[in-house]
Amino acid sequence: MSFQKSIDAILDTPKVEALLVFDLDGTVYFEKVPADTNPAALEKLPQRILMMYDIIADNFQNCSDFILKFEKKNLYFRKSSDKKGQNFILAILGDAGINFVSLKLVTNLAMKMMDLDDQIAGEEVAAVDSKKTRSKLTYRGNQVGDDQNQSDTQKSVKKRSGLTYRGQKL
Amino acid sequence: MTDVQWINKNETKSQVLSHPDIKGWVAIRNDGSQNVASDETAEQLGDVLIYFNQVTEMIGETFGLDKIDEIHIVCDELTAVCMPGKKETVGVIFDKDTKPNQFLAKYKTAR
Repeated sequence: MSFQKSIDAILDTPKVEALLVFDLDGTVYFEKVPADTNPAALEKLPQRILMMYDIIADNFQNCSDFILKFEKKNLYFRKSSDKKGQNFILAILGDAGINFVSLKLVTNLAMKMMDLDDQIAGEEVAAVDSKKTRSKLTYRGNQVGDDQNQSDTQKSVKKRSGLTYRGQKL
Repeated sequence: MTDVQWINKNETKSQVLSHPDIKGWVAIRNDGSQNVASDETAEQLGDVLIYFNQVTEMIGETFGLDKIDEIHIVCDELTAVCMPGKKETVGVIFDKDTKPNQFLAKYKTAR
């Protein structure tokens, strides 16, 4: 199954509304989101999700999946590796009535067959601008908040040389 | 897995949390002033919750979502479910094989 077929299988699951695929450096391989998505928050989304995984692993236990259930929508995050062993995360937005059992089955199959390099060969790789950071909340010295003026104080900005984000080299 | 009887509104939240299928629980005040945990693992979950309340809000804002009801964390050996409230957030730990939904419904309707 190619990268695109894996993606299509997930997007074809009933009540799935959006999908983001990114690796553990925050490099985005696929992004399909609703038109009214907040663009500034979307840029920071992979970094925030990765931070969630770090917080869970450091303070509690290793976790592969987590779900955020909001009043009307659910966000489902799954960490896995593609068939070449490259780790990545799926972020899926779905309606509150989404069937997690069938979504898990579909994503299990898609993740097993996924090859991130397929996507790299076909399209320009996007990356998350992790220099834009937020508020007073910090984790391991990282700020997590919304104040973009504080970008220079971010200590753990990962260098992603060679990557581009929406046409701009990082 | 033990069967859980359906909702009994006379049950207290403490009674629900003492069910044998619940491996631990933690309650933290949202201002960080109090942290009550059933054991060490639950206390560790409490450490996670302190950050979660703020980070999940930021994640939700991407899609215009602002009222989070539950956070499910699926680990190798267990599942933790966190329920943020106005004043406090409660985290409950289950075995991975336990289906938490019926406990959550009981907990939310208990006294």
